[in-house]
Amino acid sequence: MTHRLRLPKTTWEMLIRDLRRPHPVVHERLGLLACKTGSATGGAVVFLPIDYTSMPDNLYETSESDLSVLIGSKAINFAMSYALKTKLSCLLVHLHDHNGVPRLSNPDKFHGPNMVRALQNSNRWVSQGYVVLSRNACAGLVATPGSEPALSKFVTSIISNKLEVR
Amino acid sequence: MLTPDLSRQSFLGATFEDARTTAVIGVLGLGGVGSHIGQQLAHLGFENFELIDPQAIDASNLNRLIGGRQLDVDMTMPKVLIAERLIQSVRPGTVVHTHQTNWHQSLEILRGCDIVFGCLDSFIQRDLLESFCRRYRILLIDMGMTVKAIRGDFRITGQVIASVPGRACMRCMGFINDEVLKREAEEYGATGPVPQVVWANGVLASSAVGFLLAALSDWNRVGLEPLCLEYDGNAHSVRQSDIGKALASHKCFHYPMNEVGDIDLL
Repeated sequence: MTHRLRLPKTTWEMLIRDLRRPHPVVHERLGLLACKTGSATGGAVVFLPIDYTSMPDNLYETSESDLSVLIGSKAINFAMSYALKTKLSCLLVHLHDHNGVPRLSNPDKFHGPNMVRALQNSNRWVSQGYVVLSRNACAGLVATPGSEPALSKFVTSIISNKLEVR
Repeated sequence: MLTPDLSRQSFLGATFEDARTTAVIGVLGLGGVGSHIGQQLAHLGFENFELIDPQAIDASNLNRLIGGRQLDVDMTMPKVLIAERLIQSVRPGTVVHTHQTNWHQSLEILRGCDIVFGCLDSFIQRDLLESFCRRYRILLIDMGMTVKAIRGDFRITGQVIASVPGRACMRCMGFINDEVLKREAEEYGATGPVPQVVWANGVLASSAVGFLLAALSDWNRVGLEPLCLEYDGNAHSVRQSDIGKALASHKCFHYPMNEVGDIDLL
């Protein structure tokens, strides 16, 4: 399934800037993108972000067994509360800082579906997702209402006086 | 599909190459202007099209519909199929979906388009289409031409407008307003056939494709500046519209960037 993410360049740049901020413990920061959506053919979803929030610094947790971004109960609670509060489709995002379409790492593939299910538990009437951004594209897991999280391609449109479509 | 030899346009850059292969282009109206658009985008190597037009060709279209033939008129061939044939003849294997319907009946398809060319005749339709495109943050490039009789002379004019989400819209530019829509509604059905000619359509379509390339490629660093071009068919000129220049950094208040997406019925 190929979904679409359309957002202004100013929003995109803000996202990248925020996710690049160094953190004392974790390598990859997390953020939550609240999106209105449009339904396209074949069940594809057009995600239209209208709000963003960073995962607060103190909600990341460390583990001796896993060096990736660690999402403990507090972080999950924060994400679920945000989904509940906004009543919108939420994409949990982090950055792989390179150009081109990113790939989900093994920890992404392991943790991602559970995160999407957690967001679905907050609001199962809208699509929810776990999305990896690169500097100019994205890919991830998306669950539409009533379905399980599935690996998804994205076409990203970044809009300014230019239009970047990847 | 064979990789097309696009070496002569390599200066357009990598950003264009990404868009050329990824973007889905919607063309609404495959008549005089839209048929030019399909042809040019096929030559440029775009790979994904959604073509929407409810009409079939008739004899009065042959003066301007690119790719149209007498045999098509005899067979009342749908315009979308003529456009598809033209695109496929330039680049076999291009993904072309055709829809012989009004665009209002193809909304799911249009939501999946990244760029839409609006080749519609009426202000009311333009207004509705722009509203739709803004709702889904789709770049809309609108074109139109008119031939007016003024004291025994004829004047050919036209415009190409890039409607970029967040920036000045056709209402901001004054191109569409309630007065224009009211007048059009009152004159509905009373105007007779609208004059259209192939060369003016060609100029407008080429300018519109130029707009798209300015947005998608690296060769023109300015991008979509200005947002509106004016065509004077009598003077054979295309120039930047003053209002388009004046509104270059204007933020649209008719279509706020957070009023997007499907209407929530819950």
